[in-house]
Amino acid sequence: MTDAAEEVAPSASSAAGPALLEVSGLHAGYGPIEVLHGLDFTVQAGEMVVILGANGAGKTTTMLSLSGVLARRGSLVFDGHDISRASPDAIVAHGIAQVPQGRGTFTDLTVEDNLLVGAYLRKDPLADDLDRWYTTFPRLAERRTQKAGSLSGGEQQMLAIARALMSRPRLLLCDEPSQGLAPIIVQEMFRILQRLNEEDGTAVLLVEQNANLAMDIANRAYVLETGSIVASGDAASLRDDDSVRKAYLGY
Amino acid sequence: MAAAFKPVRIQQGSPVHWALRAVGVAAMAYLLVLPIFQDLKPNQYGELADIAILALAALSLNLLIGFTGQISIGHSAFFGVGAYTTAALMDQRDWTAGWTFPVAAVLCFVVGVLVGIPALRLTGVYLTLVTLALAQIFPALVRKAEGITGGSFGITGLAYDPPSWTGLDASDRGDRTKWLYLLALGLLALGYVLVRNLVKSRVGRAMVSVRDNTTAAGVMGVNVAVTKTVVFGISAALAGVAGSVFALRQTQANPDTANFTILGAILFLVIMVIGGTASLLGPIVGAFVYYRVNQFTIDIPEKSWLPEWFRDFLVGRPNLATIVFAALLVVLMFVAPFGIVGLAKQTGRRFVHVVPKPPALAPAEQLAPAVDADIDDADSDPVVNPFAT
Repeated sequence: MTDAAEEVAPSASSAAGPALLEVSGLHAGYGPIEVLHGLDFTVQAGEMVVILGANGAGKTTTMLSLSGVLARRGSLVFDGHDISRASPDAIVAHGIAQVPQGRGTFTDLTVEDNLLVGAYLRKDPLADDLDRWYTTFPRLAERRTQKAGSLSGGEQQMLAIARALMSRPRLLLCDEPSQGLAPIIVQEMFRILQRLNEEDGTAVLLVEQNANLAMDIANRAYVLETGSIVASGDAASLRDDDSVRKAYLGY
Repeated sequence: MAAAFKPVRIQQGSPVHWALRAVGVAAMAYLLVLPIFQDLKPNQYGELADIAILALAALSLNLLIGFTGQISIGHSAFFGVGAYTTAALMDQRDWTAGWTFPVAAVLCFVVGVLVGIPALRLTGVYLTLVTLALAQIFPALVRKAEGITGGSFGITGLAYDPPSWTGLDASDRGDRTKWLYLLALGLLALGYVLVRNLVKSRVGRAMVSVRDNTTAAGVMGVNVAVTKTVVFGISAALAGVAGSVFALRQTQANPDTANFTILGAILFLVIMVIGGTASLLGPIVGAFVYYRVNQFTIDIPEKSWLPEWFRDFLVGRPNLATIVFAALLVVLMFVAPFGIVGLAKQTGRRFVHVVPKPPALAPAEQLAPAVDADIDDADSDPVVNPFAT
């Protein structure tokens, strides 16, 4: 087994300037089973990038290995820092936060305590951040002292997003935020993500099955198939690509 | 369930809410502290000391299982390590009992962290199996290490005289048991405050987040490994201190003692569950109830109100007490699946709703009127609420 970090191909990034996140030769898996077979992708500062893929393509594996909770090989550079071997907490400290798949609600903690766990590594005052996300998500303010497990699915997804943002990330990883939500809630959530991306300049890396909606708000897209990236490009041009359209957009 | 009337609504942090809390705290203090000023019989103080020891052991387990979600059925070993540390230091080095407590706590913390390391790779039943092995190994190890533990004979003749500042008479049996009760109560109070502060702090939130969703906790930046092992260590230290007092109360440490075997670990678990998992007051309530009910079932053959034929039937059948106790346990778990404290909260919520303070920024009329918050009188426990709407 060779160390992938040393045989890295040159960056696949087409955009100018150093990328905020630069991933090359990312391998990851569970025990003896390798799921990702050397992914190369980049996220520029302030960009919204989507990774599309069917079930089992390796979307969640990608996200978990980026956050460092899964063993991985390859080179991960975030904002000039090599985070290939960094621990999950060091990665959060560098400015990467994740909205985990299935929301990852801490059901027995209150809504507010969930938000505070999101800011676990921060030592500065949090009142402004709490205010901000309560204003953005008034439903969370109403349910501040309620157990998070008692929220509806949509509310829990909002909570998961607000919780991740409590660490003031520069890159937000969202793992299938549309999962199990009503279409109208998915739209509202994507609007919020878009606004956050445009107003705050927070870069967003989204993995989605809901390709149509995701392509609407993303700048660039990658298509992931059984652990390898098979297509990439501007969201607009990928949308026009026949093979991609047929396979992932369904028309 | 049709409530006959609407529950009273109290705003969280309002004077009424504080008054309610004060009443709760006063009631607890009354029950626990009153015996200090009463002139109880020595055996009554002894019972109270036993209850406090069991409560401390269950409290340590609750920190680990209730709040962090790591199931251990090996806490009898930590209890035993604590007991033997005290016994060996007193017997072989002539230490005063009081100084052995911190040593026992530190030693158990270290052992706890070591055992907690497999917990990083093992979850659920696999971790439980490791702790089971620990519970099985400990008595055997004690028998082997004769030089320190006295082997199968154990260490006897432990005595802790009440210091002169207590004003207790060291030669009076009543005063001696009273001193042990004070000691156990003081350590229980210390343990309670420690666990309470821990659970309500940033670390406590991390603990519950690890329990509720380990992956999500990890991506939030919570160091899952450190949280799990340190909590294992703290929990072991508390169990060890409980064991130290237990050795003094028994005046000996012997490998045949049930509390040092797997039976002890299960006993602590039972007490925790009776009282209420992930409840701060649960272990204390659980220990009281367990002790009393157990005593009651043992005493059944002597109850004069039972029919003669039934008492005759019981003679020579001591196992029946265990069966009655087990049956009561099943009934209790049916009536109060979240323990006695959980049941009390559920009942209390029918009468009093504690409404959270409206958030500073949101207009008051935006508030949903029926926000159901955790009732928070005596046990201001932030974590357990199995009855959330």
